[in-house]
Amino acid sequence: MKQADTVSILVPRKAEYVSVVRLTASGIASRMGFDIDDIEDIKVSISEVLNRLLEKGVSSDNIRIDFHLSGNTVKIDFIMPDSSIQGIFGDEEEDFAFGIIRSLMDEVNLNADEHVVVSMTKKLERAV
Amino acid sequence: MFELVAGSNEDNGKVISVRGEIDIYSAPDFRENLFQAMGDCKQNIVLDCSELTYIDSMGLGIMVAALKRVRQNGCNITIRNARPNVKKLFTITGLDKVFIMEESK
Repeated sequence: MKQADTVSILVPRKAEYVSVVRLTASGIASRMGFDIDDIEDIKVSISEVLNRLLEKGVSSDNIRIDFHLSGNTVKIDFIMPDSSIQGIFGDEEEDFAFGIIRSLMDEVNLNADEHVVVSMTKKLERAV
Repeated sequence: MFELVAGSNEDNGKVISVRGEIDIYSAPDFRENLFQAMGDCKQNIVLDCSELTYIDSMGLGIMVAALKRVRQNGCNITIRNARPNVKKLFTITGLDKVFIMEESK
């Protein structure tokens, strides 16, 4: 089985770096073969998570985003290295941003690990 | 990152073109510029989104706030020529039923 690659990016918890993460995600997804629609889905989903992490008063100065590339799947983990945070999305059924992410990504998990605030997955659907 | 251009008035209302990307960084400027361009909110607004390349919930929230303002005066906002990625967000959030969505003009 082919080993998964991981790309990590550590950004200051500031609004001006959200577009940098989007650009990084766009490059990774494009290299994997995702089409423009899927790349846009990933970009919006990433922004929705980062928006919430920026709005929440947390102690971390930085946010680490890990992209795990495995076959036809990209798994994106949002990690707050020096703080744990629970419930970044209010009522998950009602939350506007969370609803967007759930619509655009194949899988979303909250607080998947101690410092992994959100983990989300998008699968590449290759045309047969 | 984004640009907002208030254009001419037409039968459908005042046309405002939105260009570029609206995210958490540009959202405060977008809100201020949009509300300024809308003026007294006593006429219909057409947001020309043909050159709007990116938006997320931050921008959508501002558009909803703008809609509330104009509706207080019995007016409406039309979203014109949204690109597929922008239109998709309006659709999955149900906002395509709240705003008037219009294609090419």
